[in-house]
Amino acid sequence: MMIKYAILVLLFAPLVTAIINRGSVRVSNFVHIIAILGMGISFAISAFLFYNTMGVAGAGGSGTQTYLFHYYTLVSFANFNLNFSVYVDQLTTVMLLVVTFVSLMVHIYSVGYMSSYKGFARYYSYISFFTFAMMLLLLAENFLVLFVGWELVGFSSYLLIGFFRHRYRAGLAASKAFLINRFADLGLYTAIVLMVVLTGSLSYSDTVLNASALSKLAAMPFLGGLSYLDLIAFLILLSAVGKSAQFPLHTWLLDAMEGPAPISALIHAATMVTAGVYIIARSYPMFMLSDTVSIVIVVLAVVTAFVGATSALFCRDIKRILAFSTMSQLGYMFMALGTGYYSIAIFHLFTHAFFKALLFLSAGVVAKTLHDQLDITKMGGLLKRMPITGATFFIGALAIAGIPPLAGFFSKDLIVISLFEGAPAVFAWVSLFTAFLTSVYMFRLFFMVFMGKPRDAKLHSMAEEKSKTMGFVLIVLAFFSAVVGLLGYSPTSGFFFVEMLQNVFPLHHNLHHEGGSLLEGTGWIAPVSIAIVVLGGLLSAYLYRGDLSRVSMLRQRFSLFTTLFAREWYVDTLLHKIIVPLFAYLSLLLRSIDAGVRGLSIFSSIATRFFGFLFGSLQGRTISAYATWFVLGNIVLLFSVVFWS
Amino acid sequence: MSYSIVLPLVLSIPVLTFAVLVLVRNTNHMFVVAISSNIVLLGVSLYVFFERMSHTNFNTQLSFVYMGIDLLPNLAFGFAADGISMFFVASAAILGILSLWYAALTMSTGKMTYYLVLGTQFMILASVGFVLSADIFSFYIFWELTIIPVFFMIGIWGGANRFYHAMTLFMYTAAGTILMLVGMVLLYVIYGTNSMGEILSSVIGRTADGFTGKYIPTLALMLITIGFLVKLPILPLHGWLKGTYTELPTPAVILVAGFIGKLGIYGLYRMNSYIFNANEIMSSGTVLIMVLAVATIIYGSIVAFAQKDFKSLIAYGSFAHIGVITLGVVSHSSVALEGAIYQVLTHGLAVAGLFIIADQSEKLTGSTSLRSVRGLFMNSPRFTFFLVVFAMAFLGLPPMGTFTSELILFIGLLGNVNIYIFIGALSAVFLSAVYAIFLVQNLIFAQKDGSPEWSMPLFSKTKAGALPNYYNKFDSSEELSFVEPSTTDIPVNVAVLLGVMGVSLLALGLYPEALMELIKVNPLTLRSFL
Repeated sequence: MMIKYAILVLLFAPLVTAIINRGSVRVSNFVHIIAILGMGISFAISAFLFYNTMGVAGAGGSGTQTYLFHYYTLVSFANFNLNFSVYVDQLTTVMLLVVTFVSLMVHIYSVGYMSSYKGFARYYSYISFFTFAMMLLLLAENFLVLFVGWELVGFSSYLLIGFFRHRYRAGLAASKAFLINRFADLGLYTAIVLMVVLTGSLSYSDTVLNASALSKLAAMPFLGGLSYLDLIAFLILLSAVGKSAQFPLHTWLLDAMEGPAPISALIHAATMVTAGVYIIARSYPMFMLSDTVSIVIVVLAVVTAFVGATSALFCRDIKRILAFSTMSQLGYMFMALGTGYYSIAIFHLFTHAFFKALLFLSAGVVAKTLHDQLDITKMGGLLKRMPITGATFFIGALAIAGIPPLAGFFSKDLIVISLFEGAPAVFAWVSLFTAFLTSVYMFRLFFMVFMGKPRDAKLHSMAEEKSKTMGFVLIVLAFFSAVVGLLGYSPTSGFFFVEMLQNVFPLHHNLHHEGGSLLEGTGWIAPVSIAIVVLGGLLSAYLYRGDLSRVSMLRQRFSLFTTLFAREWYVDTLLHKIIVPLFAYLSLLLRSIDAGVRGLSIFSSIATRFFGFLFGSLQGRTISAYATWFVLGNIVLLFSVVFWS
Repeated sequence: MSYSIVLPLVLSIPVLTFAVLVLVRNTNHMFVVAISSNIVLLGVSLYVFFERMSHTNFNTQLSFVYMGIDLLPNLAFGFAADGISMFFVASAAILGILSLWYAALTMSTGKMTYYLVLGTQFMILASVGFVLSADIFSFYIFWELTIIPVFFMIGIWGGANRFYHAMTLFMYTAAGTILMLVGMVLLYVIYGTNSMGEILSSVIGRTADGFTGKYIPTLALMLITIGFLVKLPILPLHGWLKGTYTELPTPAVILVAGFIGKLGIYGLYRMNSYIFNANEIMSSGTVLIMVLAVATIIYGSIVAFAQKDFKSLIAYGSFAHIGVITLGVVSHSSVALEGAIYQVLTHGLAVAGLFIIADQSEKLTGSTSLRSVRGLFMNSPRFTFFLVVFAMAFLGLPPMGTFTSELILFIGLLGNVNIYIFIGALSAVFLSAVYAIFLVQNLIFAQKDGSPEWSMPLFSKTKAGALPNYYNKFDSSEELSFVEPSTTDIPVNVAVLLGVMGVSLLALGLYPEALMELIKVNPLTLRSFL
């Protein structure tokens, strides 16, 4: 009973602080304290929930508890009831832990980062509101409440991307993010409508987690060889593709970097963009049954990872590179989802949250101290002036590249293994090649920003580490980036993380499939991937440590590919040069047509004048004319009466 | 309480109020009288709701409580109500209160205020009479009365082109109502009664009764339907819309856009929703209406995107939403009907809020143009806040009431309408976001970059500072206007009003059950008619 209300506190504490900070209380000395306090409460409660639920099933653990609480009925019509309910299992608590922890870190970091900008209270209000929405998404027990959270995170992302209202591009980027997401959300919206009509319910236990409901859906043919189950799975995937920035709906994520750096860390790297992974993992039985959609997921995921990594290679904007990297890593998560290894996807989500938040926050320190200069070709040699930032960034880069024993190694390796197991080998090789590219562009970033000689002396002289809170957050995150991978696999704890999720994803979706371990016969992959990563790092060092002459030579020789990569595969070009102009011109055309339609009333006035003239001329101006018409009219009347009867 | 007392009471409240208002000369007193009487009206209508819920007999019948005053053997004025009529009465009261409240906050004392309050109260009176009518003649008369104040308000207080807009409105509505009158006279002549209940059951009962039994009633109902469609309006009949919504004084447009326009929805529901199911020809007629409704959604949304002016953008956006609501009413689904009726109120609140914000924008900067160089409201936190809130309500962001009602509507639509119509209607969810988001972007974000040190990604397609206004890129004929950013903000009292509206929208979205229970269309009664 206590937990029922504790969950409400967990959920609403950030909302309350958001309202306080947005409302009349604007004493800037207290804004961040209130917000951090609210986040701290939420983090404490979610840690408690995590502890309660994390016991390993089958190992005699008593903590395999899940919670389901009903609060009130939202709406009921025609045999259909929808409650505001909360469902907490291991998947929820893992996600909650990630969200509240990263959010708490970002809350603390932002004290230093945002202090020099206008709108401090507004900023804190937005990020607290975002955390509330994200937790609502995670705690929901049915698709409607999830959708509310889903849209509200999109909305808060919109607010935060457009936080700097004086920047034209910020406004455009915010609108773009909102619209692309809204387009993708049509999928979830339609899926909700379909589920209500076809299954009569929206709660997870009656729809996606219910075997009989799923088999009923699978038996309904929709189109071609596809069933309604495939359709719903596809629609949910569409939303996930939008929210998690998968190809081809990823371009909003890159523009989203117009927001403040901590926002990129919190929303556009660690938490919100993983909502797509969460929703597929949450409704995994449906995706298990839909082979078509699973194949689509794997293909999209591999394409996304590859496109993201290649686009990052020649990008010059530090945050944009990290955004491409986020997109690429989300692709890795989707690979695991598509092959059916859901717990591995969640594990990568978990580790990625730490090191990507770390990378973004380090980049934020750099960008802030250089007065919003984001071009890495103007940086260089910053390690001496910013040792903490540089060191933590290096740890993050090692983690994302996949150097053991840092976090990224374990999760990425498991994903590559799962691809070898569950998909054609070519996909797995592409993912290994992508790992190589990841290593190249991450170390390129590190070398160009922190190593070598300063490229711009004036900028270089500005660089310093002022804020202790920011440094503190970086160190904490670096520590976790280094160690959380060990939850995935270590000689002592075994597959702790994956086993913890057993309760959510039963055994055969885990490492132990069909009587054997996933790792059997795949022992060669780990050394190969380490070798690939090291090779990538060495290549990066060769190309980017000194002057960039080798790079320019390379770019001239392979101009076809490098142009393609540098122009980011022309996806944004397609959007801005074709789709948007088409809509805009159509809109202008219809506006002109509409002016014509409105002008039609002119015709009625002309017609009125015409008939007025016509009949007016009948009205004679003399007595004789009146008399003529009088007589004629009477005759007509008489005849008609006679003939009628 | 007996219902025979309640209905005259409900109707007499606005009538008496109007009579009192004519006599009162002090505009402050007028506002007090009008607002408090509408609060009473709201209370009474809600009371009838709850009575209805506890009164089993009232609930299970078609809920037509007919209490007629016979004039001639076959001609009686009658008034009746069911849950949905009372919902419309309550909506009229709510939008009336908001309209008068906003007028009280922003208008100075004077002749214009006097006539504006009178006109507003007259519109409330007429619309309450309309939704309570149970005979086709009072139905028609009240229908006509609702538009008269609008005509005069545009003609007297409109902008430079006011006479043109007033006449346009007059011609459209006159054409619609004349067709409607012809239809009603035909029905009266055929069936010898003007009671709507009797006429409807006769139409349904005698479907194959030769020429006069089948085709004439169908023709009559079609004519009446066209009358409703003009008032909504639906696609080719919307010529009056833009002029009316942009020229009316804001307090009046709150009521007109928020409520009066949607009386057509009530008319469609009352006169036709049963018949659409029963009569073959009308049933195929609904397909035409559905196609037009979908066309309205897509066309309205796209045209809204190209508007240069805040108010006309809202007008076209509202037009597109009307398409969605119409679809809900004419679909053969009680769930969609409930969603549509519910959306009448939620959408009314959202539109009213946006019109208030548009008016405030005009007061702050002297312009409602969306083509200004800078974010006009970067210094106005309250304005920005409410603009975003109501734009989000307009596009149906959960958990706003607009979202909830729209979702219920779509749930009802699926399976009950053609799949292409359903998909077309779904586009509203995305397209409404397009114009609402660009509305926000044009008003509160900088339209040119304000910070010179801002760097661009190397391979960006355009150079920093050279970014054109998003519209001007395509529409080079339009010059940007150089309106100075506002340095002031919405006054607190208007912010309170907007806050109340925002909170009600949120409450309607979070707890729809409270009202949904009351407007529940009883499937039993629907079926008994089929």
